[in-house]
Amino acid sequence: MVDVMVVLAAGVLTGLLLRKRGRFLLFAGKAAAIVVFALLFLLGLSAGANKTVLGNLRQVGVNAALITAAGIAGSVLLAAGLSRFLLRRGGREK
Amino acid sequence: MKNSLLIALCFLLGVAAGYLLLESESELLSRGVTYVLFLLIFFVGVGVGANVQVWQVLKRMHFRIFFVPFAVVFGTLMGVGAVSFFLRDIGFFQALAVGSGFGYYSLSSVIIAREAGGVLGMTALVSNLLRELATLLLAPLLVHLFGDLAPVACGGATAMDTTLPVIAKVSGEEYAVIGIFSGVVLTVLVPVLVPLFLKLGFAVMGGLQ
Repeated sequence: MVDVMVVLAAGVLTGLLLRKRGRFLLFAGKAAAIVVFALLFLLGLSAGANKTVLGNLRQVGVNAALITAAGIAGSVLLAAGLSRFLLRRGGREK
Repeated sequence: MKNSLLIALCFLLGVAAGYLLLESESELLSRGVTYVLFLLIFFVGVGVGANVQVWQVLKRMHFRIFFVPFAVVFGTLMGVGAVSFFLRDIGFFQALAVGSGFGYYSLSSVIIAREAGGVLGMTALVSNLLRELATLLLAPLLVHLFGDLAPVACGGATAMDTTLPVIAKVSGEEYAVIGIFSGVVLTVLVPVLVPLFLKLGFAVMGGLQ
């Protein structure tokens, strides 16, 4: 977990320092896209190799859908309450 | 949209190759995943650091704007935590880890697959993909029912890129700016909160034994 945060912080710092280098940012954006493709391919590889994952697809789908629905409901309701609170304080966010 | 399809194709190609070519998950593969994951997290950081708009929004709206991503975090965790008691094979903290992807499916699912195994990783992938998809499809309905901030909340971390055009269209440009800010904060929180909840889950399981 610490290693993840160090890498993230290094990235943010690099981005901050090089934020005016358009060509570097263009490269970083493209590299990130390629990395995502590679990562999802690798994730697919391990999912395909892992026979328990393929055997549990139905349960995985049901659990995933319930988690998504509950997460969306909770965040949307709290955000609705928040925007009412912000409006009442006279702080229309414009 | 084109990117999402390409990503899905890469994943399915991987599944087919893994199913046909590999006997079981190898040490080499998981190490490869780790290094590529770190590369992605680094580039996520670069994108955040270089995002000039975020710093401008912060200057203009002061710290009040932090209420938005924190409402998304606490709202998501409350909902997911509540529903976790009805799930089969998934514990409270595991569900919180999946929910803490906030729609960022590539990052969250790989972290979870690496630290908690393929089944929960797959759950995170599907769950967070669904969150992005639901935001794209339901944004107009959400605005109608819950107000202009709802698509930003629903989009979570994706509000800064993939669902941003929809948010701008249904909620307006000023909410697009809020969406970018909220999305960036949530994106940074994904690689922090997901491992944290997985650790807490392991700690609780260890305590029970």
